[in-house]
Amino acid sequence: MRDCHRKHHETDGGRVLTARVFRVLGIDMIWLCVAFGIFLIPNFSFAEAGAEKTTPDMPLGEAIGQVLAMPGDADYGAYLATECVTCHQRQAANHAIPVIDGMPREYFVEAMLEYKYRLRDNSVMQAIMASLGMEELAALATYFSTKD
Amino acid sequence: MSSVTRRTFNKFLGAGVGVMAMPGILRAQGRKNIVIVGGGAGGATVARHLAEKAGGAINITLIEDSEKYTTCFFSNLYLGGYRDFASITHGYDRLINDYGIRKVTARAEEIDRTAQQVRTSTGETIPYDRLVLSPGIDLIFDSVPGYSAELAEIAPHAWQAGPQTQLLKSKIDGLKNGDQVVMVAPPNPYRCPPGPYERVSMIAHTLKARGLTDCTIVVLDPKEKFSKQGLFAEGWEKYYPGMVEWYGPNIHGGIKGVDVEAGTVETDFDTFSGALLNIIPAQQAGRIAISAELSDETGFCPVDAESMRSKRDQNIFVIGDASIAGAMPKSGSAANSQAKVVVMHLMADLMDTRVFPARYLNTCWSLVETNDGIKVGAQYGNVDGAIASTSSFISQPDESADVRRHTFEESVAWYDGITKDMFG
Repeated sequence: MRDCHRKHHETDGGRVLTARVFRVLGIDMIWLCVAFGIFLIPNFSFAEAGAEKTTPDMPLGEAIGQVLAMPGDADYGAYLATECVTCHQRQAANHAIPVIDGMPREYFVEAMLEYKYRLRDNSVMQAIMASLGMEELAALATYFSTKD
Repeated sequence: MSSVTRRTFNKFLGAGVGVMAMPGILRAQGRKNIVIVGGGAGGATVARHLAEKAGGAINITLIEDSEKYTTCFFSNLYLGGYRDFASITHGYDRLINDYGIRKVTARAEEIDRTAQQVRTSTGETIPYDRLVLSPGIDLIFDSVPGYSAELAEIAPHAWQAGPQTQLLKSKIDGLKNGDQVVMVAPPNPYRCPPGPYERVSMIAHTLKARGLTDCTIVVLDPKEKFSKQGLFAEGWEKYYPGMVEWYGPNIHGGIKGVDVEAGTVETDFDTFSGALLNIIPAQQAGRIAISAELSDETGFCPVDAESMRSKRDQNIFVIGDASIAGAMPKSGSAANSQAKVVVMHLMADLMDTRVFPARYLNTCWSLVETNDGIKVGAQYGNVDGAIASTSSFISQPDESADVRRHTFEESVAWYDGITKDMFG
């Protein structure tokens, strides 16, 4: 996962501090600091009061590895994906909501977990990921990676 | 069992060929019948997803009175001049031709819940194994004293999209500088919580674009607060200063009634006069759901949080505006989401497929001015027998122009997506 991939997908403009920190420190340094429990990135929350913060306890890298190691229930993924398809259609109307059919599993899991850790901008996706657990994510990753 | 002679076998073969030769009359016997009332965000979505998953194994009948469907969502953008009418109106051709759905262009008049059949306005009786009701709302016209269905031809509500929307647009476009618009907003619960206020924004936008900045829009609201109120208020102040006046019950003291001919709305505080009146009355579930005794004293239909199954009838699902869906608002987005859960349960009921915990979502996008979009929404699940929010989001007052523009572009992509999800 490279910074340039992340920038292409996000046109929000918010979280300038985050982008600057990523550029200055680099992804590895960020993970190192997270591992030591030092959060350099203030936790901006776009959700209204009462929304749940469900950032997992483990570092992002570990979470990614854990989800990728799970096989992912394809039937469960197919059901969960019915919620996604309304916005994420097979052909994107514009750049604001990207196509996710056929997205590689690793990239999908990484991007979705970045939403869960509120490291990637978009309040809709952050709210969606706050309500999805690791099992759900594995199921979805399996489902979308096999769709063409 | 008696032996089957060649003569008997040939008779059966002939009958079989006969059945295949007239599929329109004898919709394959032995297949289960799913009947859906309402071809909007809830009903059309159920039809398409069910057809996709069940293949030809289920007879799917969609009862919808309109030849084409105009979405209420994005109808404000048509009023604002951002979309044309054709772009918010959709046909059923693909559902019929590509998905094998039978569309009955008629009203559902009566449901016989014992015999499990629906009678239509064209006199047809359609049997169902499972029934999905997504009939939308009925307007309670006299909830605003002096208002009626007939008078809506002069003072449109445009809260059911189609000819009413076009009527309202023609009246907006006919306004002159200095004219006042008076909107009576609806009480809770109603479809599309931010809708009236997006409409105010869109009317203000067209007036401003035409240079008619001496016009005013008065909103008389039976509610003390409304969805995304702070965001709308900020937007109105920023873009349409002096043009919008919102009065809550604390100020107007109660809406007494409307005199459409005179163009006035009377409140306890004062009588407001408008060259254009937009009266949005109180609402209840679509008539068919109420006459089938599926509603409660609120005028909407209680359903099981896990499946959207009616609490009054195990064979009937109620979704969309007509349902009581816990914390979910009444919206196209919500109806489309609830439809997916229903399809999962229909498949399980009829084809014994797996059931997973229900998940729902809603997003309401509103346009305040060009490239300034705001949103609010949430994820939902079944929490102790009620549909409750599990995470949520809302636009913030101090967002950058980039964020607001992106929010609007998101809504455009969503609209494209949901209409594909509904109509194929």
